[in-house]
This record gives sequence, C-alpha cells and structure tokens, in this order.
Amino acid sequence: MNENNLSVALTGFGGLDNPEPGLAVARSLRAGWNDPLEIEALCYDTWNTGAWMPKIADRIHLVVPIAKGDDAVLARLKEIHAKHPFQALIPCLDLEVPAISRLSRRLDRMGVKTLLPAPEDAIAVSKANLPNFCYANGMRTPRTLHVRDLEDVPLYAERFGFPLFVKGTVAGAKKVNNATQAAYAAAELNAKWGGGVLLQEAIDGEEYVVGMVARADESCLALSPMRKLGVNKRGKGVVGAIIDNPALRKEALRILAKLHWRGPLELEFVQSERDGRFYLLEVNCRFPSWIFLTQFAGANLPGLFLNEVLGTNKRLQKKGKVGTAFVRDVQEVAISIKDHKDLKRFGTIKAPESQKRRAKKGPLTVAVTGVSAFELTQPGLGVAQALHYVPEVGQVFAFAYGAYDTGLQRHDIFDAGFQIPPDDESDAALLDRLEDIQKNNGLDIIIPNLDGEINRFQNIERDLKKLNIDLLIPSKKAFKAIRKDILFAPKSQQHWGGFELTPSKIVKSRKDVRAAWDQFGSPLMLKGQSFGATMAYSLRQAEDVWDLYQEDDQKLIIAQPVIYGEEFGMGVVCDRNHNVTESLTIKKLLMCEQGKTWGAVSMQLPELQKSLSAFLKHIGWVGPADAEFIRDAVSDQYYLIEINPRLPAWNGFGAMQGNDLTREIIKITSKSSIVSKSNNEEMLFLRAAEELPTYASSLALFANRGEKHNG
Amino acid sequence: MKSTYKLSSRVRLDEDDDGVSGVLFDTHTAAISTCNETALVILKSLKKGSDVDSLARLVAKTFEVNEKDAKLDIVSLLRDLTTLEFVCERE
Repeated sequence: MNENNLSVALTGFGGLDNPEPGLAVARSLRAGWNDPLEIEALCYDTWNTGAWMPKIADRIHLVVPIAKGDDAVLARLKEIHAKHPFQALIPCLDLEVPAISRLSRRLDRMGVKTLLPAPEDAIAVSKANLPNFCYANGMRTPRTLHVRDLEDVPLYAERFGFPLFVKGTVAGAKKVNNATQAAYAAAELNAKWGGGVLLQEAIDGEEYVVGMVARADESCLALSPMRKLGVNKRGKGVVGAIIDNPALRKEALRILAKLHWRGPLELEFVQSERDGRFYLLEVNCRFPSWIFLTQFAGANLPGLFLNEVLGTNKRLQKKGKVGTAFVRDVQEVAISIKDHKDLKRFGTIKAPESQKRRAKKGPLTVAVTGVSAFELTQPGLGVAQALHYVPEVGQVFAFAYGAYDTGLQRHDIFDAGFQIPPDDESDAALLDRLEDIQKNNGLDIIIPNLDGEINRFQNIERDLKKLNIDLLIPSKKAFKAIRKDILFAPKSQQHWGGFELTPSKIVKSRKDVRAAWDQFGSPLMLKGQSFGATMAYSLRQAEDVWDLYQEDDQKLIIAQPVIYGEEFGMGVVCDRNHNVTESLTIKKLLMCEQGKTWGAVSMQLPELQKSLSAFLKHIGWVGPADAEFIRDAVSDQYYLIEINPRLPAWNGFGAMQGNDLTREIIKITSKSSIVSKSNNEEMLFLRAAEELPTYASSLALFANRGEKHNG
Repeated sequence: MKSTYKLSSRVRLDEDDDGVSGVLFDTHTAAISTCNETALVILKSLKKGSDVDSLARLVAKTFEVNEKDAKLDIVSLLRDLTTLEFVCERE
C-alpha cells in the first residue's frame, strides 16, 4: 500500500442477483472520492463476485464470519490491518453492524474509524422488532406479526387477508395471494434465515426508499430519497430515480430523530393509495445497494460518510439532481483460477487487473435481443459483449421490448437501442419495424436470444432474407423436438451414449401428480412447460405446486426425480448442415436463487459433446443451442435437463477466454472465414450486478420514440 | 376575473433535443408524462403563467386550428394537470 493513500475496508460484496451493498459503496468511493484511495474488500468466501470486478478492490481478504464471535472477528481484522493498514471500516451487511459497533472502540485504538449506531439501537429496528418500535414512537407501519411456528402460518395468513407479504427474519420477502402460497414461502424463508417468518399486510401504493447518513451527534448529514420505478417479480427495485418530496423528507427526518442513529441507513416506505401517507416498511442499518445512484446524482453519500468519519473536510455536494436514475444490469469477468485458489489458500490476494476489450471495426451491423437483467440475466447481454471480440462486427444494436430493458444503458456494448413490437403484435408489425431500422441505420444479422421469440423470427425468416438480414435459427420441426413435453415424452429415445434424458412424467392433472410422486419419490422436481422449476418435498407440497402452475396458466408440467450432482452447460452452434461447428462447456460453480449461472469454469467433455452433436444432428438443428446437464454424484451418469434454442447467458465468457460461439454465428451467417482461437481452461467466469446511470426523462423518451443512439 | 395557470414548482419540463417533444417530470414522485408538440407549446407557456384564452389563441395560431376547439382541449388538459397538482390556479 502507498503510505500516502487513504485506505478503506468494506464488506458486502456478495448477493449475486440480489446484490449486497459493498460493491455499490466501493464504486461510489472510486468515482467520487477524487483523491488516491485504496479499497480492501473483506469477504466471507471466495465467491463474493463483486470483489473480483475490475477496478474495485486493491486487495481481497477472507474474513471470519460474525457468528465466530467478536474476538475472532477482531483478530482477523487486526491481522489484515497489520499488513495493509486501513483508516476506516464500513460494514455493509445488517448482521455485521451490531458486532462491528461493539468493536468500534478497539478498532479506533488501532487507528480504524467507524461510524455506527449503538448495538441496541440497531437491534431495536430489526425486522422482528420494528413493529414494536413503531408503535412506541407513533410511526405508521403495516400490521406485522412474527410467526415462529410455521404450522401457524396458514391460520394467521387467512386472518390477515390477502395479498400479504411473508418476510424472512433477516431478509427476503414474498407477496402471496392465498394460504398455500404463504405456507410455501414461509418454509423457504425459514429454511434460509430461521426464527420463523413475519407476516405483513400488503399496502397498495408506490414504494420509496431514503438513503441517509447520520453524524456522530445523530443529526442528518445528508439524505437521498428515491422512488422505485421498476420493481421485478422478486420485489427488488431494478430501476429508480432521485426525487424531492417534502412530505417524505419530513417523515424520514422525524424517524431519524427517534432512531438515535449514527452512520448510514436506509428507510423503506410505501405511500398508501388509500390515505397518501408514508408507512415505514423496514430500517436497514447500512447503505442500500442502489447507493451508486447518489454518485450519478452528484451527492455521493458514501463519499460524504467517509469525509465525516475521517474529518477530511472535503467540500462535497449534499443534494442530488432530481430525476437522475439508475438501472441495475450485470458485469461479467474472467479471472484466473489461480487467483481464486490463492485467495482460498492465503486469505489475501492482490485484486486482478482488468481485461481490455478490442474496438470493433468491421463492416457488419448485428442486432441482439434479450438485453435485460431486469428479472433474469438475458443472454443478449453476454452475446453483445462477445461481439466486441469479433473484428468483422462494426455496430451492435440492442433490440428491446421496453424502456426498462437494462442493457439499453450499456453504452459500452451497444451503439444504439431500438424498441421492437412485443409478441402480442403481429409478425407483419415486427417485419415492418425491422425493415425500418435497417433502412435508417443498416442491419445485417439478428441474433435472437429469448426462447419465446424464436417462433416469430421463424415466421419472418424468409422475408428478412429478402431484405438481406440474416438469421441462424432452427426450423420449426427441430424447435418442436426440444419442447419439454416432446423431448421428455416416454416414447423419446432416452439413451444417447454420453448422456441420458432425465426420467420424466408428463403431468396434466392432480392424479398425474400423485402418480409422479409414487413413481419418483421425494424430492420431486416440477417444471412448467414454458417456465419455472420447483422442488416439492411432500405430496401435499407437490399438489400445492401443481395449483400454482395452474394459476400461471400452465396446464401441462413435467415431473422428474431430483438428481443431485454437479451441473454443466454446453453451448453449441450448428451450421446449416446440422453439424456442431463450435462448442463451449462449463461446470457451474455458482448459481443464483433463480438457477442462473453466476460463476463457472470451462471444461472439455468430448464424449458428452459428441453425444449432444449426434442428438442435434438427429433432430436437424441449425443455430445456437444451450444444453444443460447434471452429473449424478453417485453414478457419474450425465442427464440432460433441458435444451434452450439460443446461446447461453454466460456466453460472454467464451469470448473473454478465447472460445467464441457468437463469432461462429457471424462466421456462418456472413459466410466468412473467421478462425476461432483455442480454448483456455484456466479461467473462471464471474458475474456481479452493476448500476448504470440514466435519467427518468431518458427512459420516457425511449418509450416514446422507440430508439436511442449512444456515443 | 380571468384565472391564470402556472406550472407548479414540483414539476419540471424537459424539452427534447428536437424541440418538438418533451417530458413532464414530477419531482415528488418521479412520475413522467411525455408531451407531444401541442402539449409542449402549452406547457412552455404555463411555465411563465397564462390563462385559457391566451393559450387557445397560441395553439390556434401555432397549429392553424379552430380556436374554439383548441379551448376545449386546453380546458380538459388543465383540469387533468390541476388534479395531479401540476398546475396552480390563481384568480
């Protein structure tokens, strides 16, 4: 460490698609501190992907879990501090705050500053205690009940009425509409956090959050209110904008005065449609994960906090520009496996350098669909990233379905974004739109990346060809062959040499659910024909899951036994003769709660690839495919889970480490003689969330105009 | 006495680069309304303050439409904007 540099230690670099705040705090300090600064990333395991992102941490350290006790935690911090001194420590996880607060005097004697509430003040506003705190202090909050015995959840849920929120005691919340859903959600959340669950009435209204920093004297240093503009199905704010609402500000300051707070916090509110008042939902005793927005808006709360803690007297702006917005997208990197292993072995490593990306210079204009991380990380983001490694490509366009498609803000990978008609509009409307885009901007190749749109592009493929726009997609016959109810039908060929099809039963009724239960036992995997995969541990649960799929209008589901083992993904590209001409296989090492890959290593599995190639030849496949396998931990048998008719979402990894499926598509469609590079097995793929700046007005203008141009 | 209308300080009018469209942004709630050319002309006038008759004359002249029809549309727009607390009415 440069002795003249300030150094700050941060936690909270995990969380995957529900990111912990540490990465956003680090980004804020990097962008807004404006003086030399070093960041020590403190992680509980090597899979905190945020710490590995380029230009974030100077060093990454493994630290002791809070559960090991204050002395153990302090001992490790002392050890790190002795070799890499840091002047401030910012804990970014709720559970850490009381512990670090207890240690604050000892840390101060070491020369490490903190600014945190007293432990009892943090505990007083925990999720389970907040209702009592609000009652004692005259604050509006939704009716909430802590239910410790899960058997009581359906009863109390019925008494609350629906809809209702079921919340974990530490984190997580699910909105439910009946007792069945409540029971299922409670089981999931309690399994993760323990302590029962909280049932909370659902108040109709818009959600607002306020990020704040309190001084040592408990007064407000700065606050930044934000309205969640785009909330995904898991209730996470993925798009938000800075506002200036006097009533909200007044309420936030009133609450702060009662909290006896020091340091960062986040207040979550809902403004009731019924009475217009703000109801306090949660108090989080750390910076929120959207905090990078405050840097975009010009009032960097982590910077203000650090300035306050260290007494550095920088002149920093405190009021953010109203209307500044963020969208949450993803960032992907390839790091060396050696670095990952070294962190595990030595506990501290220097953070790896960032990779450089080549500039695109070629003549081709390529458009990709599936450009959002709003719900799940769609494959188009990785595809667009990979296209930057293809020298034949000059421009990359994002084809979006709405203003909240997060990739529209990725100026680093998209030259322009265009809105295309959704699937409830006609094929003719889509064709007209594409023709218009080509006429005004040029367009040579489209790479569709969403399963549900392949059919539409199949319908207009010939017309696009007449416009000299190329696609590489399967025929309707081949596409049908990978549909779950066809692929896993009893009459399908089950054995393919290197893999077998997962044993399956097509379920069309409750009776079929019971038959599947009798055949496969527990746990039972139930998959929707179109989407969804849920495990059931009892017949009752399996029947509840069937009811949930019925509510989603999925009349046919596939039941399979759960197979335990490592999961693999194989991305391939087939040419027009149905031969696999390029492939990339990964072993999935890190998956988010939605089952998507956030960490992986590349592998060579030649027998498996040979068998998949034979299968794809058999069904006459053309274009990209993403096959998912599981290797039984006991028998080592590979089972096919599903095949998706597009490139995998982790496709960007291939380009980063020299094995590029996207490039193969360009090669086949443009009939060029691109030479692919060899595979490097020594890299690890990692993904983390990334907040991108925009303006609320820009989002609206895109919705109005249907296009935007970057650069 | 004629009522004059003025855009509330809680809303901000952002014009697009082309000058013929824009966005009305509510700073309290981040609610956004996109504005076509006609709405933009009206809202720009409301920034300084105006009355219904003046607005009707402006729209009729700018877009070569019937002043009576313009007035009906303007009254309807002002009613909506008042409900949203985006304009203040002064006697």
